[in-house]
Amino acid sequence: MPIKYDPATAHHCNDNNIILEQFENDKFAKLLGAKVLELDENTIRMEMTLRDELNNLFAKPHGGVIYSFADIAFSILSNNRNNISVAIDCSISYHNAPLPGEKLYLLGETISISRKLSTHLFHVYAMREDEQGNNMKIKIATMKGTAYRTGKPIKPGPSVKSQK
Amino acid sequence: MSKRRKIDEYREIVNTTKIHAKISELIGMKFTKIEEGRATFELDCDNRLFNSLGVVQGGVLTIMADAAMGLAFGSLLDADQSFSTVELKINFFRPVKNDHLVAVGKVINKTKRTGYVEAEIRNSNNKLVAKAVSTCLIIS
Repeated sequence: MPIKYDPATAHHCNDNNIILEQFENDKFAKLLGAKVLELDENTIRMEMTLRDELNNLFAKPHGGVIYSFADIAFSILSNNRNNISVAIDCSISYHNAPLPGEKLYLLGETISISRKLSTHLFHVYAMREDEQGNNMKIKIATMKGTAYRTGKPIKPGPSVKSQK
Repeated sequence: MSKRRKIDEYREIVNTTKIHAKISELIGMKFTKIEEGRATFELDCDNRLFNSLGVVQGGVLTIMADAAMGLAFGSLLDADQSFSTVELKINFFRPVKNDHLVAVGKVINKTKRTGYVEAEIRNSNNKLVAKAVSTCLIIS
């Protein structure tokens, strides 16, 4: 059952809430305006609006901002087992250009997890209307990230060394 | 009269130090040098750019690398051409806190339609903190 994220109630002692409490201190995520909608052990949903401040030289949303949106999700999903994890490798493919001012959505999943490494996949998309007014899901980018799991807890608790 | 090239626009931006992109203003990144196939961006990191672990978010480094690679590639194009990044990969080697970073983008290969570009980001001790590669596509 996914957690509907609510900062006011994010104080219970489970590992998802530990990382969501940490997320409250993520200043760069706040600067970009990225929001967590849902989180469970293996999936995450987020949204972010592409404000003008996030535009590049050509007045279009900067590719690095799209990457950052996925990277924020990556940091949450790879750290949601109370085991500090750091990104070691990320790659992103851009499929369609987002529009300035558009709201982006993200769906992320954990593909594999071992004692030392975890791999995750993130789909960034926008919702647009076609000429008939039907909603269309437009793929914006896909990012794959690998994290190194340090074995150190974010908050003191049971050993996380062998935790998958 | 010779055809105007994108590098001429980029040189004006570097020489006038005008704000060229809103994202640069937001994070404090400066476009400091442009040559044929090579672009440099610099950034003084502060805690606005930190993630919840207290280090600079990987996305900030990627914004720098993407900007350096994009403009390095753009510097080889005519002013009426446009391009898009279709794929980008980055590896992180060291965490960054309050430090001065320099990102240098360099075009490794360019064809009529595509470009293969790489970027290195180094800290104030000249240590490599991240390396990125990307593929760009010329649209027009």
